[in-house]
Amino acid sequence: MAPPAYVFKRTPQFKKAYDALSPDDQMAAKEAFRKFKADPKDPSLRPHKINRLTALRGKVVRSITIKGDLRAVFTVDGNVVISEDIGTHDIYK
Amino acid sequence: MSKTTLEIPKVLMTRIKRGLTPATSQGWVVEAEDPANALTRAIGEWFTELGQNDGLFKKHVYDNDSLNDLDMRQHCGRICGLVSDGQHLILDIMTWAHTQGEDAMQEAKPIIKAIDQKIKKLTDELFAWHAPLDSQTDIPESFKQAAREVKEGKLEDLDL
Repeated sequence: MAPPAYVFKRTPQFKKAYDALSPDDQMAAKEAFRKFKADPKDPSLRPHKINRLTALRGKVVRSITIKGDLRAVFTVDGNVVISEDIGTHDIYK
Repeated sequence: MSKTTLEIPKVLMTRIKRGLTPATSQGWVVEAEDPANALTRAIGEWFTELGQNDGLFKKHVYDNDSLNDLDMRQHCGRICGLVSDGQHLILDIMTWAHTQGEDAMQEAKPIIKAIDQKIKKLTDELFAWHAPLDSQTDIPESFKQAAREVKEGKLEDLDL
């Protein structure tokens, strides 16, 4: 079966957080999102569910690792993958 | 189908009619358990249940890769049940200690404190997992803002 055709969206907050990253982190994020757009489940991005955020949101919240402590969190609504925030917050680990 | 009837011995029937023997004479009267022993047993059972629930929560909520609404509602229900039982336990201990005097009241204090500490942990847990997102002080504001934006449909194409 062919993988679902995802549509990738982001929140304005995601852009704001991305713009605040260092140039190195932005480069790393671009590289990670190139893989992410090809396959949001790419194991090299270590995607995992964050249970507490999932409980609080009432929808599954997942995180991918960009580099080191830098993570991006996203949700999926049907075939729309929404990148919501990016940062080094402990809760995103 | 044939019917069977309980045949009450005539001698007993006569006594029942006279009101000397209760009709439900099948119960067995036993000496009531010493209230202090009963309380000690109840406290032990509450702490044991608390430990068992810690294991259940870890398996079915905190480490559960397929966490769903059913898990969350059981989590909430069990925490609320434990808090309620703990509070009733404290009330029972206070009532018992009050009837026993000053020594018992002093003896009860550390037990009540230990139960209170566990109740505090449970209510913190309840809040952290079930209270509204905006009221969580340890969740980054950026995540709350993003959640609001998603709710309002403020989405743009991912341009990375």
